[in-house]
Amino acid sequence: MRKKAGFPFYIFLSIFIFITMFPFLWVFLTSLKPPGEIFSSFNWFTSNPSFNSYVSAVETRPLFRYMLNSIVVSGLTTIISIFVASLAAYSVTRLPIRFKGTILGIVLAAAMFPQIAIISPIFNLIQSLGLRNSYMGLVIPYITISLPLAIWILATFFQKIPYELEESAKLDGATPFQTYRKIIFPLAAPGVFTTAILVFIAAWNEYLFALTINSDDSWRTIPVGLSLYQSQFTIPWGDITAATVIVTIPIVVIVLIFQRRIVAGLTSGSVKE
Amino acid sequence: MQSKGISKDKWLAFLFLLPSIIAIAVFVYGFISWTGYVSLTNWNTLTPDFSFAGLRNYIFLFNDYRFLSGMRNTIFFTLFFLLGVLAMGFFLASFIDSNLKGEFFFRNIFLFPMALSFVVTGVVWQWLLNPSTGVNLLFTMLGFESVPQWYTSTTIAFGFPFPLGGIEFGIPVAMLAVVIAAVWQMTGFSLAMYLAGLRGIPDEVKEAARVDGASEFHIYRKVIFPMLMPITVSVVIIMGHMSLKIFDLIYAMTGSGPNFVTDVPGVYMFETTFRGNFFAQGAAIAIIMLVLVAVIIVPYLINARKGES
Repeated sequence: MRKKAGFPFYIFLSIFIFITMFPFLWVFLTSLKPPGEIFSSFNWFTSNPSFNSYVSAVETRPLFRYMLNSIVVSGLTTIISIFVASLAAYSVTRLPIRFKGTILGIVLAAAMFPQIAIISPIFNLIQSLGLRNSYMGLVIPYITISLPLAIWILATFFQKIPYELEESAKLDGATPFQTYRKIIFPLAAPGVFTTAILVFIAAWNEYLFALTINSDDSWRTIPVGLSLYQSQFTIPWGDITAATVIVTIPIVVIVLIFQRRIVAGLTSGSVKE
Repeated sequence: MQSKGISKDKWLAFLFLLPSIIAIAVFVYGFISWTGYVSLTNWNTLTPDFSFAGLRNYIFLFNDYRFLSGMRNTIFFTLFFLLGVLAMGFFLASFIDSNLKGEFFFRNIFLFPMALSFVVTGVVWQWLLNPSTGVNLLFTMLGFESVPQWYTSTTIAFGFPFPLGGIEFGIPVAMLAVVIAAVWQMTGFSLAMYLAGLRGIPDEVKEAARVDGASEFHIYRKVIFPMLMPITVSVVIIMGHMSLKIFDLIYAMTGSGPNFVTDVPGVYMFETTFRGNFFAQGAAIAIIMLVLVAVIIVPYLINARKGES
């Protein structure tokens, strides 16, 4: 109705978009500069663009190994925690169980407590199980930290599915498990998918556990690997910007493809629609 | 027959819940209790020592220069971060909502940094706000004589001597550089929340107020702000508890900084536990952080539950 924008409005918005995009843009432009030009003075574009920084970024550290590790760890975490969490969310929202609200509250609180408070015992446990520097060494803690959030988001999605469908399935003699598999899961699929993306991104970005548990270079994940390019004495900005571009691209792709779902998941539960 | 069916459902509900309950009970609540127990012991060596220390680890922290610096930094970081995220998010949301058709497009642009890890944000902004290589090059080119020192500044603004630990209490200027990075990353969240909230306010409400002769300012103050209050509370709780437990961004961007001007309890806990083997000390820091976060979220969760029933 009043949705018409004037010229000043677009200028104003462009400035904000530029500020938001500026770090991406500058990192990208810097990654193409020869090392000598990075520090000298301010210039947008280099006259000798090269991929030397990219070659160097991949040669100095096993960047592709980090990516593989991140994909395996995040993928396993997502699959297992979505399966376990969807059972729990179904139980809490659809089955006759007491203290639903209390259970969900305790679960959500678990998602919000600082991970710093559980890192030492988890580290000691993983170490005594001999699982340091392995995929399971990260998948186990990641499942525990992603479960509470996954249960919470899934529960808000499951609550929106009309009860009538379930009732009629029950009248037709379906067991709860069949109802879950045939009715709830397909209807909740978009919500499940959204939750899966959020769990995947969270696991992909996790830093504290990855830094503590997998200290061997061939088992490191991307965030840890990226933070290790700088040493105490030198900061090779060319390599770092090139590595940042490489590791950001998968996230860019995921966000571009699934943007609408991600927004639905982020605001679910806190905004009444 | 009927009652048998219900009890079967109950068993199934229990069975479905069991794996999650066990995992969360053991790995979250059990381990938190364990950390609490360790914080009361003398385990400040590489080999475990479970002899009872009472509150010694906590008493130490409340006279500790580094810990109190970290607490000071966290308080001001949280304050400015919340102000930044709320103001920017609301401003951009109301702007986009009232003027624009392609709101999804714009919302998603601002939401984009949120998908990045704090480590990427930290690394990028460490470079952008590096006094000698980053945006200061731009400032110098534009002819500025003196440029900000960003996260290397050791200034404590409005500082006064604090009675404990010998720290100076005031606004650590270096922390503001971290606030800029954090606001850049997280504004998309409050923007998305406010945008959803603004779309939930029917146009008729605003129109009615306008017909009654209310000014735009009045409409915001009397109609829109009150209706968005629940969203503001949610954003404050979610962003606030996040900034109280922050670790990644600081560790990747600045570390603890000169004279601990950018240190936070999370970084202190990590270093004292895993670099110094002071397990009990680290556990005490973790428990204090936990209590801070719990003070914010538990009343909120209880309140939210009351609202539902």
